[in-house]
Amino acid sequence: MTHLAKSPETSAVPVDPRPAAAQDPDVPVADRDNLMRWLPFLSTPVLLIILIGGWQFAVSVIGVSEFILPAPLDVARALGDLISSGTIWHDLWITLYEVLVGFLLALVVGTAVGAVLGRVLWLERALQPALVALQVIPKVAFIPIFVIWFGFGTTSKVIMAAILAFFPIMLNVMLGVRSVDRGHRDVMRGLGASRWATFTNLELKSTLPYIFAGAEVGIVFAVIGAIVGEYLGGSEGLGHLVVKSLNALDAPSLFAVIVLLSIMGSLLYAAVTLTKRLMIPWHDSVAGVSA
Amino acid sequence: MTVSAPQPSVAPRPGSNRAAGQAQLEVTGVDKIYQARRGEVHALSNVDLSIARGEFISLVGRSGCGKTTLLRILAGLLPPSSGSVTADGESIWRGGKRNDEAFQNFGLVFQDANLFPWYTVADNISLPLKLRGVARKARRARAAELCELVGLPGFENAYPRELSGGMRQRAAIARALSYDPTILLMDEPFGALDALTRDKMNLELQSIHAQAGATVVFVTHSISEAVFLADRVVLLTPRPGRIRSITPVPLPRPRSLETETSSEFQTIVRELRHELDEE
Repeated sequence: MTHLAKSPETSAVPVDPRPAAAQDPDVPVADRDNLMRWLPFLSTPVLLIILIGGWQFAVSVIGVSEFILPAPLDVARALGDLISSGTIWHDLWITLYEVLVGFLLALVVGTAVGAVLGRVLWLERALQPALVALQVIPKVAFIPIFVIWFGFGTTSKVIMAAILAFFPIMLNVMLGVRSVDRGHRDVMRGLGASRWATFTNLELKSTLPYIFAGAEVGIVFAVIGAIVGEYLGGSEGLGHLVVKSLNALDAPSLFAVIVLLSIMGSLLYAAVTLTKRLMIPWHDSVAGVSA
Repeated sequence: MTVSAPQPSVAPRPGSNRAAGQAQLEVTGVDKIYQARRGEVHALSNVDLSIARGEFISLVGRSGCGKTTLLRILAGLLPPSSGSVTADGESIWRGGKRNDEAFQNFGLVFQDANLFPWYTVADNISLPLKLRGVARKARRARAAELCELVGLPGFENAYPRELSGGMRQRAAIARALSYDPTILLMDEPFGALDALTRDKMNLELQSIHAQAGATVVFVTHSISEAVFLADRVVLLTPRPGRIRSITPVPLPRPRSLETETSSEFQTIVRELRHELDEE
Protein backbone atom coordinates (compact mmCIF):
# COMPACT_ATOMS: atom_id res chain seq x y z
CA MET A 1 0.00 0.00 0.00
CA THR A 2 1.22 3.43 -0.78
CA HIS A 3 1.64 5.46 2.33
CA LEU A 4 1.10 8.85 0.81
CA ALA A 5 -1.67 9.78 3.14
CA LYS A 6 -2.52 7.78 6.22
CA SER A 7 -6.17 8.72 6.12
CA PRO A 8 -8.35 11.52 4.84
CA GLU A 9 -9.00 12.67 8.40
CA THR A 10 -5.41 13.22 9.43
CA SER A 11 -4.52 14.88 6.15
CA ALA A 12 -7.36 17.32 6.21
CA VAL A 13 -5.39 20.20 4.69
CA PRO A 14 -7.80 20.37 1.80
CA VAL A 15 -5.85 21.49 -1.20
CA ASP A 16 -2.20 21.90 -1.65
CA PRO A 17 -0.59 20.78 -4.86
CA ARG A 18 2.44 19.28 -3.15
CA PRO A 19 2.32 15.64 -2.10
CA ALA A 20 3.83 16.61 1.23
CA ALA A 21 0.56 18.16 2.29
CA ALA A 22 -1.11 14.81 2.64
CA GLN A 23 1.81 13.27 4.46
CA ASP A 24 0.98 14.55 7.89
CA PRO A 25 3.98 13.28 9.86
CA ASP A 26 2.05 12.34 12.95
CA VAL A 27 4.42 9.96 14.69
CA PRO A 28 2.28 8.88 17.67
CA VAL A 29 -0.53 7.89 15.30
CA ALA A 30 1.87 5.84 13.20
CA ASP A 31 3.16 4.13 16.34
CA ARG A 32 -0.32 3.26 17.45
CA ASP A 33 -1.09 1.96 13.97
CA ASN A 34 1.90 -0.33 14.17
CA LEU A 35 0.91 -1.63 17.56
CA MET A 36 -2.65 -2.23 16.34
CA ARG A 37 -1.30 -4.27 13.47
CA TRP A 38 0.77 -6.55 15.66
CA LEU A 39 -1.64 -6.82 18.57
CA PRO A 40 -3.49 -9.94 17.30
CA PHE A 41 -0.18 -11.78 16.89
CA LEU A 42 0.58 -11.13 20.55
CA SER A 43 -2.87 -11.64 22.00
CA THR A 44 -3.72 -14.89 20.22
CA PRO A 45 -0.88 -16.98 21.76
CA VAL A 46 -1.73 -15.51 25.15
CA LEU A 47 -5.39 -16.48 24.77
CA LEU A 48 -4.39 -19.95 23.62
CA ILE A 49 -2.15 -20.41 26.65
CA ILE A 50 -4.93 -19.25 28.96
CA LEU A 51 -7.36 -21.69 27.31
CA ILE A 52 -5.04 -24.69 27.55
CA GLY A 53 -3.95 -23.70 31.05
CA GLY A 54 -7.57 -23.47 32.21
CA TRP A 55 -8.28 -26.79 30.55
CA GLN A 56 -5.35 -28.48 32.31
CA PHE A 57 -6.44 -26.83 35.55
CA ALA A 58 -9.96 -28.23 35.19
CA VAL A 59 -8.60 -31.71 34.60
CA SER A 60 -5.84 -31.96 37.18
CA VAL A 61 -7.01 -29.64 39.99
CA ILE A 62 -10.81 -29.74 39.80
CA GLY A 63 -10.68 -33.35 38.66
CA VAL A 64 -13.20 -33.45 35.83
CA SER A 65 -13.67 -37.01 34.58
CA GLU A 66 -11.46 -37.80 31.62
CA PHE A 67 -14.48 -39.19 29.75
CA ILE A 68 -15.93 -35.70 29.83
CA LEU A 69 -12.77 -33.70 29.44
CA PRO A 70 -9.52 -35.48 28.56
CA ALA A 71 -6.26 -33.76 29.49
CA PRO A 72 -4.68 -31.55 26.81
CA LEU A 73 -1.70 -33.89 26.58
CA ASP A 74 -3.94 -36.91 25.98
CA VAL A 75 -5.65 -35.03 23.19
CA ALA A 76 -2.30 -34.08 21.71
CA ARG A 77 -1.22 -37.71 21.86
CA ALA A 78 -4.45 -38.85 20.21
CA LEU A 79 -3.89 -36.22 17.52
CA GLY A 80 -0.37 -37.54 16.96
CA ASP A 81 -1.70 -41.09 16.69
CA LEU A 82 -4.36 -40.02 14.21
CA ILE A 83 -1.87 -38.26 12.01
CA SER A 84 0.71 -41.03 12.10
CA SER A 85 -1.92 -43.73 11.44
CA GLY A 86 -2.32 -42.41 7.92
CA THR A 87 -6.02 -43.08 7.44
CA ILE A 88 -6.78 -39.58 8.69
CA TRP A 89 -5.53 -38.10 5.42
CA HIS A 90 -8.22 -39.86 3.48
CA ASP A 91 -10.94 -38.57 5.80
CA LEU A 92 -9.44 -35.11 5.78
CA TRP A 93 -9.37 -35.09 1.99
CA ILE A 94 -12.99 -36.27 1.76
CA THR A 95 -14.22 -33.48 4.02
CA LEU A 96 -12.06 -30.91 2.30
CA TYR A 97 -13.35 -32.04 -1.07
CA GLU A 98 -16.96 -31.75 0.05
CA VAL A 99 -16.41 -28.29 1.48
CA LEU A 100 -14.50 -26.95 -1.51
CA VAL A 101 -16.79 -28.33 -4.20
CA GLY A 102 -19.87 -27.23 -2.26
CA PHE A 103 -18.43 -23.78 -1.68
CA LEU A 104 -17.38 -23.27 -5.30
CA LEU A 105 -20.80 -24.40 -6.48
CA ALA A 106 -22.42 -21.93 -4.11
CA LEU A 107 -20.04 -19.19 -5.23
CA VAL A 108 -20.80 -19.64 -8.91
CA VAL A 109 -24.55 -20.22 -8.60
CA GLY A 110 -24.97 -17.68 -5.81
CA THR A 111 -23.17 -14.96 -7.74
CA ALA A 112 -25.15 -15.69 -10.90
CA VAL A 113 -28.53 -15.83 -9.16
CA GLY A 114 -27.73 -12.80 -7.02
CA ALA A 115 -26.66 -10.78 -10.06
CA VAL A 116 -29.83 -11.67 -11.96
CA LEU A 117 -32.15 -11.01 -9.01
CA GLY A 118 -30.35 -7.77 -8.28
CA ARG A 119 -30.96 -6.47 -11.77
CA VAL A 120 -34.36 -7.92 -12.67
CA LEU A 121 -36.62 -6.30 -10.13
CA TRP A 122 -39.86 -8.06 -11.04
CA LEU A 123 -38.21 -11.47 -10.76
CA GLU A 124 -36.86 -10.65 -7.33
CA ARG A 125 -40.32 -9.52 -6.20
CA ALA A 126 -41.90 -12.63 -7.61
CA LEU A 127 -39.42 -14.97 -5.94
CA GLN A 128 -39.02 -13.10 -2.67
CA PRO A 129 -41.56 -15.10 -0.62
CA ALA A 130 -40.05 -18.35 -1.85
CA LEU A 131 -36.54 -17.11 -1.08
CA VAL A 132 -37.48 -16.05 2.43
CA ALA A 133 -39.16 -19.39 3.02
CA LEU A 134 -36.10 -21.28 1.80
CA GLN A 135 -33.88 -19.18 4.00
CA VAL A 136 -35.95 -19.65 7.13
CA ILE A 137 -36.25 -23.44 6.78
CA PRO A 138 -33.63 -25.24 8.88
CA LYS A 139 -31.77 -26.68 5.94
CA VAL A 140 -29.90 -29.23 8.03
CA ALA A 141 -33.23 -31.01 8.38
CA PHE A 142 -33.01 -31.91 4.71
CA ILE A 143 -29.91 -34.05 5.06
CA PRO A 144 -31.83 -37.32 5.47
CA ILE A 145 -33.73 -36.50 2.29
CA PHE A 146 -30.48 -35.83 0.44
CA VAL A 147 -29.13 -39.12 1.72
CA ILE A 148 -32.18 -40.87 0.27
CA TRP A 149 -31.78 -39.02 -3.03
CA PHE A 150 -28.04 -38.95 -3.45
CA GLY A 151 -26.83 -41.82 -1.31
CA PHE A 152 -24.34 -42.05 1.53
CA GLY A 153 -21.43 -40.86 -0.59
CA THR A 154 -19.97 -37.39 -0.89
CA THR A 155 -22.67 -35.99 -3.20
CA SER A 156 -25.23 -35.46 -0.46
CA LYS A 157 -22.66 -33.60 1.66
CA VAL A 158 -21.49 -31.46 -1.24
CA ILE A 159 -25.07 -30.43 -1.82
CA MET A 160 -25.60 -29.65 1.85
CA ALA A 161 -22.44 -27.52 1.93
CA ALA A 162 -23.49 -25.75 -1.26
CA ILE A 163 -26.98 -24.97 -0.03
CA LEU A 164 -25.77 -23.54 3.26
CA ALA A 165 -23.12 -21.39 1.55
CA PHE A 166 -25.46 -20.30 -1.23
CA PHE A 167 -27.70 -17.90 0.69
CA PRO A 168 -25.16 -15.53 2.22
CA ILE A 169 -23.37 -15.29 -1.12
CA MET A 170 -26.51 -14.78 -3.17
CA LEU A 171 -27.95 -12.16 -0.81
CA ASN A 172 -24.71 -10.20 -0.70
CA VAL A 173 -24.30 -10.21 -4.46
CA MET A 174 -27.89 -9.05 -4.87
CA LEU A 175 -27.21 -6.18 -2.51
CA GLY A 176 -23.93 -5.44 -4.26
CA VAL A 177 -25.45 -5.28 -7.72
CA ARG A 178 -28.05 -2.83 -6.42
CA SER A 179 -25.49 -0.70 -4.61
CA VAL A 180 -23.59 0.46 -7.66
CA ASP A 181 -23.14 4.17 -7.11
CA ARG A 182 -25.43 6.40 -9.20
CA GLY A 183 -22.70 8.97 -9.64
CA HIS A 184 -20.37 6.27 -10.95
CA ARG A 185 -23.05 5.18 -13.39
CA ASP A 186 -23.38 8.78 -14.57
CA VAL A 187 -19.64 8.87 -15.24
CA MET A 188 -19.82 5.78 -17.43
CA ARG A 189 -22.97 6.98 -19.21
CA GLY A 190 -21.42 10.37 -19.75
CA LEU A 191 -18.45 8.71 -21.39
CA GLY A 192 -20.74 6.72 -23.64
CA ALA A 193 -19.36 3.47 -22.27
CA SER A 194 -20.61 0.20 -23.71
CA ARG A 195 -22.50 -2.27 -21.54
CA TRP A 196 -19.50 -4.55 -21.42
CA ALA A 197 -17.13 -1.72 -20.44
CA THR A 198 -19.57 -0.63 -17.75
CA PHE A 199 -19.72 -4.18 -16.46
CA THR A 200 -15.96 -4.75 -16.26
CA ASN A 201 -14.92 -1.29 -15.09
CA LEU A 202 -17.79 -0.53 -12.76
CA GLU A 203 -20.36 -3.16 -11.91
CA LEU A 204 -18.01 -6.09 -11.39
CA LYS A 205 -15.48 -4.04 -9.46
CA SER A 206 -18.02 -2.49 -7.17
CA THR A 207 -19.72 -5.85 -6.52
CA LEU A 208 -16.49 -7.71 -5.66
CA PRO A 209 -16.42 -6.56 -2.00
CA TYR A 210 -19.95 -7.90 -1.61
CA ILE A 211 -19.02 -11.21 -3.22
CA PHE A 212 -16.18 -11.55 -0.76
CA ALA A 213 -18.36 -10.58 2.19
CA GLY A 214 -20.69 -13.39 1.13
CA ALA A 215 -17.82 -15.79 0.54
CA GLU A 216 -16.37 -15.22 4.01
CA VAL A 217 -19.65 -16.29 5.57
CA GLY A 218 -20.21 -18.92 2.88
CA ILE A 219 -16.98 -20.83 3.48
CA VAL A 220 -17.80 -21.16 7.20
CA PHE A 221 -21.30 -22.39 6.35
CA ALA A 222 -19.93 -24.85 3.81
CA VAL A 223 -17.74 -26.45 6.49
CA ILE A 224 -20.77 -26.74 8.76
CA GLY A 225 -22.84 -28.27 5.97
CA ALA A 226 -20.24 -30.89 5.12
CA ILE A 227 -19.61 -31.91 8.72
CA VAL A 228 -23.25 -32.13 9.74
CA GLY A 229 -23.84 -34.14 6.58
CA GLU A 230 -21.15 -36.57 7.65
CA TYR A 231 -22.57 -36.77 11.17
CA LEU A 232 -25.89 -37.97 9.88
CA GLY A 233 -24.93 -40.36 7.15
CA GLY A 234 -21.86 -41.83 5.56
CA SER A 235 -18.76 -43.85 6.31
CA GLU A 236 -15.91 -41.43 5.69
CA GLY A 237 -14.79 -37.91 6.43
CA LEU A 238 -13.85 -36.08 9.61
CA GLY A 239 -17.50 -35.76 10.65
CA HIS A 240 -17.87 -39.51 10.47
CA LEU A 241 -14.68 -39.86 12.51
CA VAL A 242 -16.23 -37.71 15.23
CA VAL A 243 -19.25 -39.99 15.37
CA LYS A 244 -17.04 -43.07 15.36
CA SER A 245 -14.96 -41.76 18.28
CA LEU A 246 -18.14 -40.92 20.15
CA ASN A 247 -19.50 -44.42 19.67
CA ALA A 248 -16.20 -45.86 20.92
CA LEU A 249 -16.34 -43.43 23.89
CA ASP A 250 -12.84 -42.37 22.88
CA ALA A 251 -12.89 -38.81 24.20
CA PRO A 252 -9.25 -37.91 23.40
CA SER A 253 -9.58 -38.79 19.72
CA LEU A 254 -13.00 -37.11 19.60
CA PHE A 255 -11.33 -33.91 20.80
CA ALA A 256 -8.43 -34.45 18.42
CA VAL A 257 -10.74 -34.63 15.39
CA ILE A 258 -12.53 -31.50 16.54
CA VAL A 259 -9.16 -29.74 16.78
CA LEU A 260 -8.40 -30.85 13.22
CA LEU A 261 -11.76 -29.59 12.02
CA SER A 262 -11.18 -26.23 13.68
CA ILE A 263 -7.79 -25.92 12.03
CA MET A 264 -9.24 -26.80 8.65
CA GLY A 265 -12.06 -24.28 9.02
CA SER A 266 -9.65 -21.55 10.06
CA LEU A 267 -7.30 -22.22 7.16
CA LEU A 268 -10.14 -22.16 4.65
CA TYR A 269 -11.42 -18.89 6.05
CA ALA A 270 -7.90 -17.48 5.95
CA ALA A 271 -7.60 -18.53 2.31
CA VAL A 272 -10.75 -16.61 1.41
CA THR A 273 -9.59 -13.54 3.33
CA LEU A 274 -6.19 -13.69 1.69
CA THR A 275 -7.78 -13.86 -1.76
CA LYS A 276 -9.86 -10.85 -0.81
CA ARG A 277 -6.78 -8.91 0.24
CA LEU A 278 -5.12 -9.67 -3.06
CA MET A 279 -8.12 -8.88 -5.20
CA ILE A 280 -9.59 -5.77 -3.59
CA PRO A 281 -6.67 -4.04 -1.87
CA TRP A 282 -8.42 -0.71 -2.38
CA HIS A 283 -11.43 -1.60 -0.26
CA ASP A 284 -11.93 -0.13 3.22
CA SER A 285 -12.37 -3.59 4.75
CA VAL A 286 -8.85 -4.44 3.55
CA ALA A 287 -7.05 -1.12 3.76
CA GLY A 288 -8.18 -0.68 7.38
CA VAL A 289 -9.24 2.93 7.76
CA SER A 290 -7.86 3.63 11.20
CA ALA A 291 -8.36 7.27 12.00
CA MET B 1 -44.83 27.33 -27.10
CA THR B 2 -44.98 25.46 -30.35
CA VAL B 3 -42.27 22.90 -30.55
CA SER B 4 -44.31 20.54 -32.63
CA ALA B 5 -43.15 16.97 -32.89
CA PRO B 6 -43.42 16.35 -36.66
CA GLN B 7 -41.01 19.14 -37.45
CA PRO B 8 -37.43 17.79 -37.73
CA SER B 9 -35.96 18.75 -34.40
CA VAL B 10 -32.42 19.28 -35.68
CA ALA B 11 -32.99 22.59 -37.43
CA PRO B 12 -32.25 25.52 -35.14
CA ARG B 13 -34.12 28.71 -35.84
CA PRO B 14 -31.92 30.74 -38.14
CA GLY B 15 -30.75 34.10 -36.93
CA SER B 16 -31.58 33.47 -33.31
CA ASN B 17 -27.95 32.85 -32.40
CA ARG B 18 -25.82 35.61 -31.10
CA ALA B 19 -22.81 34.14 -32.82
CA ALA B 20 -24.57 32.82 -35.86
CA GLY B 21 -22.99 29.78 -37.43
CA GLN B 22 -20.52 29.34 -34.61
CA ALA B 23 -22.89 27.91 -32.05
CA GLN B 24 -21.50 24.68 -30.68
CA LEU B 25 -24.35 23.87 -28.37
CA GLU B 26 -27.86 24.81 -29.33
CA VAL B 27 -30.79 24.40 -26.94
CA THR B 28 -34.17 25.00 -28.53
CA GLY B 29 -37.47 25.08 -26.70
CA VAL B 30 -36.48 22.52 -24.12
CA ASP B 31 -39.11 21.44 -21.59
CA LYS B 32 -38.63 18.94 -18.82
CA ILE B 33 -41.49 17.52 -16.84
CA TYR B 34 -40.85 15.02 -14.06
CA GLN B 35 -43.52 12.55 -13.10
CA ALA B 36 -43.52 12.91 -9.35
CA ARG B 37 -45.71 11.05 -6.90
CA ARG B 38 -47.95 14.08 -6.50
CA GLY B 39 -48.54 15.07 -10.08
CA GLU B 40 -46.11 16.64 -12.47
CA VAL B 41 -43.16 18.84 -11.70
CA HIS B 42 -42.34 21.32 -14.38
CA ALA B 43 -38.55 21.46 -14.01
CA LEU B 44 -37.75 23.38 -17.17
CA SER B 45 -39.97 25.42 -19.41
CA ASN B 46 -39.13 26.60 -22.90
CA VAL B 47 -35.40 27.04 -22.54
CA ASP B 48 -33.57 28.52 -25.53
CA LEU B 49 -29.84 28.91 -25.34
CA SER B 50 -27.11 29.11 -27.91
CA ILE B 51 -23.53 28.62 -26.78
CA ALA B 52 -20.64 29.65 -29.00
CA ARG B 53 -17.40 27.76 -29.44
CA GLY B 54 -14.88 28.55 -26.71
CA GLU B 55 -17.42 30.44 -24.66
CA PHE B 56 -17.64 30.18 -20.86
CA ILE B 57 -21.24 30.11 -19.69
CA SER B 58 -22.34 30.12 -16.05
CA LEU B 59 -25.78 28.88 -15.07
CA VAL B 60 -26.90 30.49 -11.81
CA GLY B 61 -30.04 30.33 -9.76
CA ARG B 62 -31.37 29.24 -6.41
CA SER B 63 -31.74 25.56 -5.68
CA GLY B 64 -34.59 23.94 -7.51
CA CYS B 65 -34.44 26.30 -10.46
CA GLY B 66 -33.56 23.49 -12.82
CA LYS B 67 -29.92 24.33 -13.47
CA THR B 68 -28.71 20.82 -12.75
CA THR B 69 -31.59 19.44 -14.82
CA LEU B 70 -30.55 21.63 -17.74
CA LEU B 71 -26.95 20.49 -17.42
CA ARG B 72 -27.96 16.85 -17.26
CA ILE B 73 -30.02 17.35 -20.40
CA LEU B 74 -27.01 18.92 -22.10
CA ALA B 75 -24.91 15.96 -20.95
CA GLY B 76 -27.41 13.50 -22.35
CA LEU B 77 -28.04 11.96 -18.95
CA LEU B 78 -31.68 13.06 -19.02
CA PRO B 79 -33.92 13.20 -22.08
CA PRO B 80 -35.88 16.46 -22.49
CA SER B 81 -39.66 16.12 -22.50
CA SER B 82 -39.77 18.25 -25.62
CA GLY B 83 -37.52 20.53 -27.60
CA SER B 84 -34.12 19.74 -29.01
CA VAL B 85 -30.46 19.97 -28.15
CA THR B 86 -27.81 19.90 -30.83
CA ALA B 87 -24.04 19.72 -30.52
CA ASP B 88 -22.15 20.81 -33.63
CA GLY B 89 -25.40 20.57 -35.53
CA GLU B 90 -26.06 16.98 -34.50
CA SER B 91 -29.02 16.10 -32.36
CA ILE B 92 -27.86 14.54 -29.08
CA TRP B 93 -30.91 12.31 -28.89
CA ARG B 94 -31.63 9.95 -31.68
CA GLY B 95 -34.75 7.84 -31.64
CA GLY B 96 -35.09 7.98 -27.87
CA LYS B 97 -31.47 6.94 -27.36
CA ARG B 98 -28.46 8.94 -26.36
CA ASN B 99 -26.43 9.70 -29.46
CA ASP B 100 -23.04 8.74 -28.05
CA GLU B 101 -21.22 9.94 -31.15
CA ALA B 102 -22.37 13.51 -30.57
CA PHE B 103 -20.86 13.28 -27.07
CA GLN B 104 -17.38 12.28 -28.20
CA ASN B 105 -16.10 15.73 -27.34
CA PHE B 106 -17.98 16.25 -24.08
CA GLY B 107 -16.27 16.26 -20.70
CA LEU B 108 -18.37 16.02 -17.55
CA VAL B 109 -17.54 17.05 -14.01
CA PHE B 110 -20.09 16.39 -11.31
CA GLN B 111 -20.84 17.75 -7.87
CA ASP B 112 -19.03 14.75 -6.40
CA ALA B 113 -15.71 13.66 -7.79
CA ASN B 114 -17.17 10.19 -8.52
CA LEU B 115 -13.74 8.61 -8.77
CA PHE B 116 -13.71 4.82 -8.82
CA PRO B 117 -12.19 3.68 -5.51
CA TRP B 118 -10.74 0.54 -7.09
CA TYR B 119 -8.58 2.47 -9.51
CA THR B 120 -5.54 4.57 -8.71
CA VAL B 121 -5.61 8.26 -9.53
CA ALA B 122 -3.79 7.59 -12.80
CA ASP B 123 -6.22 4.83 -13.79
CA ASN B 124 -9.18 7.03 -12.91
CA ILE B 125 -7.86 9.92 -14.95
CA SER B 126 -7.15 7.75 -17.97
CA LEU B 127 -10.38 5.72 -17.78
CA PRO B 128 -11.94 7.58 -20.74
CA LEU B 129 -8.84 6.77 -22.78
CA LYS B 130 -9.11 3.12 -21.79
CA LEU B 131 -12.68 3.10 -23.08
CA ARG B 132 -11.38 4.54 -26.34
CA GLY B 133 -8.83 1.79 -26.68
CA VAL B 134 -5.70 3.85 -26.05
CA ALA B 135 -2.69 1.69 -25.17
CA ARG B 136 -1.66 1.39 -21.55
CA LYS B 137 1.64 3.17 -21.92
CA ALA B 138 0.14 6.17 -23.65
CA ARG B 139 -2.53 6.30 -20.98
CA ARG B 140 0.06 6.42 -18.20
CA ALA B 141 1.93 9.19 -19.92
CA ARG B 142 -1.21 11.23 -20.41
CA ALA B 143 -2.27 10.67 -16.78
CA ALA B 144 1.10 11.90 -15.52
CA GLU B 145 0.79 14.96 -17.73
CA LEU B 146 -2.70 15.71 -16.42
CA CYS B 147 -1.68 15.19 -12.80
CA GLU B 148 0.85 17.90 -13.40
CA LEU B 149 -1.75 20.16 -15.01
CA VAL B 150 -4.28 19.97 -12.18
CA GLY B 151 -1.63 20.10 -9.47
CA LEU B 152 -1.51 16.48 -8.36
CA PRO B 153 2.03 15.52 -9.34
CA GLY B 154 3.30 12.39 -7.59
CA PHE B 155 -0.21 11.14 -6.79
CA GLU B 156 -0.55 8.89 -9.83
CA ASN B 157 -0.46 5.70 -7.79
CA ALA B 158 -2.50 6.89 -4.83
CA TYR B 159 -6.03 5.62 -4.33
CA PRO B 160 -8.87 8.16 -4.22
CA ARG B 161 -9.53 7.55 -0.52
CA GLU B 162 -6.00 8.78 0.20
CA LEU B 163 -6.83 12.19 -1.26
CA SER B 164 -8.63 15.15 0.28
CA GLY B 165 -11.89 16.42 -1.21
CA GLY B 166 -10.23 19.13 -3.25
CA MET B 167 -7.64 16.76 -4.62
CA ARG B 168 -10.34 14.31 -5.67
CA GLN B 169 -12.19 17.05 -7.48
CA ARG B 170 -8.99 17.97 -9.31
CA ALA B 171 -8.57 14.35 -10.36
CA ALA B 172 -12.16 14.37 -11.61
CA ILE B 173 -11.41 17.45 -13.69
CA ALA B 174 -8.28 15.78 -15.03
CA ARG B 175 -10.38 12.77 -16.00
CA ALA B 176 -12.78 15.03 -17.89
CA LEU B 177 -9.86 16.68 -19.68
CA SER B 178 -8.05 13.44 -20.55
CA TYR B 179 -9.44 13.15 -24.08
CA ASP B 180 -9.26 16.86 -24.87
CA PRO B 181 -12.98 17.57 -24.95
CA THR B 182 -14.14 20.69 -26.71
CA ILE B 183 -17.12 21.08 -24.37
CA LEU B 184 -16.84 20.88 -20.59
CA LEU B 185 -20.04 20.56 -18.56
CA MET B 186 -19.53 21.19 -14.86
CA ASP B 187 -22.20 20.82 -12.20
CA GLU B 188 -21.15 22.78 -9.10
CA PRO B 189 -17.78 21.09 -9.22
CA PHE B 190 -16.44 23.08 -6.28
CA GLY B 191 -19.65 23.12 -4.26
CA ALA B 192 -18.27 20.90 -1.53
CA LEU B 193 -15.02 22.81 -1.10
CA ASP B 194 -14.18 25.55 1.35
CA ALA B 195 -13.98 29.16 0.17
CA LEU B 196 -10.18 29.35 -0.04
CA THR B 197 -9.85 26.17 -2.04
CA ARG B 198 -12.66 27.31 -4.26
CA ASP B 199 -10.90 30.55 -5.17
CA LYS B 200 -7.84 28.59 -6.09
CA MET B 201 -9.75 26.07 -8.15
CA ASN B 202 -11.57 28.85 -9.98
CA LEU B 203 -8.27 30.41 -10.96
CA GLU B 204 -7.04 27.06 -12.18
CA LEU B 205 -10.22 26.40 -14.09
CA GLN B 206 -9.81 29.77 -15.77
CA SER B 207 -6.32 28.95 -16.91
CA ILE B 208 -7.37 25.48 -18.08
CA HIS B 209 -10.16 27.11 -20.09
CA ALA B 210 -7.70 29.57 -21.56
CA GLN B 211 -5.19 26.86 -22.41
CA ALA B 212 -7.55 24.23 -23.75
CA GLY B 213 -9.87 26.70 -25.45
CA ALA B 214 -12.84 24.53 -24.61
CA THR B 215 -16.44 25.64 -24.33
CA VAL B 216 -17.52 25.48 -20.70
CA VAL B 217 -20.97 25.33 -19.15
CA PHE B 218 -20.60 25.84 -15.43
CA VAL B 219 -23.43 25.42 -12.93
CA THR B 220 -23.16 27.23 -9.61
CA HIS B 221 -25.33 28.90 -7.02
CA SER B 222 -22.71 31.52 -6.23
CA ILE B 223 -23.25 34.69 -8.22
CA SER B 224 -19.73 36.00 -7.72
CA GLU B 225 -18.22 32.69 -8.81
CA ALA B 226 -20.41 32.76 -11.91
CA VAL B 227 -19.46 36.31 -12.81
CA PHE B 228 -15.79 35.70 -12.10
CA LEU B 229 -15.57 32.80 -14.53
CA ALA B 230 -18.09 33.47 -17.25
CA ASP B 231 -18.34 35.28 -20.55
CA ARG B 232 -22.11 35.20 -20.10
CA VAL B 233 -24.12 34.51 -16.96
CA VAL B 234 -27.45 32.77 -17.48
CA LEU B 235 -29.86 33.41 -14.63
CA LEU B 236 -32.52 30.76 -14.09
CA THR B 237 -35.65 31.18 -12.01
CA PRO B 238 -37.65 28.31 -10.49
CA ARG B 239 -41.21 26.98 -10.82
CA PRO B 240 -41.03 26.35 -13.68
CA GLY B 241 -37.34 26.62 -14.39
CA ARG B 242 -36.74 29.10 -17.17
CA ILE B 243 -34.13 31.59 -18.29
CA ARG B 244 -34.75 34.97 -16.72
CA SER B 245 -31.83 36.85 -18.16
CA ILE B 246 -28.50 36.45 -19.90
CA THR B 247 -25.85 38.91 -18.71
CA PRO B 248 -22.62 39.39 -20.64
CA VAL B 249 -19.51 39.88 -18.49
CA PRO B 250 -17.10 42.12 -20.43
CA LEU B 251 -14.33 41.99 -17.82
CA PRO B 252 -10.89 41.49 -19.35
CA ARG B 253 -9.08 38.14 -19.04
CA PRO B 254 -7.12 36.72 -17.37
CA ARG B 255 -9.05 37.67 -14.28
CA SER B 256 -7.38 37.59 -10.89
CA LEU B 257 -8.72 37.77 -7.37
CA GLU B 258 -8.31 41.56 -7.63
CA THR B 259 -10.91 41.53 -10.37
CA GLU B 260 -13.47 40.73 -7.71
CA THR B 261 -12.77 44.02 -5.98
CA SER B 262 -13.20 46.09 -9.13
CA SER B 263 -16.31 48.23 -9.38
CA GLU B 264 -17.41 46.73 -12.71
CA PHE B 265 -17.37 43.26 -11.23
CA GLN B 266 -19.34 44.36 -8.22
CA THR B 267 -21.88 46.22 -10.33
CA ILE B 268 -22.63 43.09 -12.33
CA VAL B 269 -22.88 40.97 -9.20
CA ARG B 270 -25.20 43.52 -7.55
CA GLU B 271 -27.50 43.67 -10.55
CA LEU B 272 -27.76 39.90 -10.74
CA ARG B 273 -28.45 39.69 -7.03
CA HIS B 274 -31.24 42.24 -7.38
CA GLU B 275 -32.75 40.21 -10.15
CA LEU B 276 -32.65 37.10 -8.01
CA ASP B 277 -34.29 38.90 -5.12
CA GLU B 278 -37.07 40.27 -7.30
CA GLU B 279 -38.50 36.81 -7.89
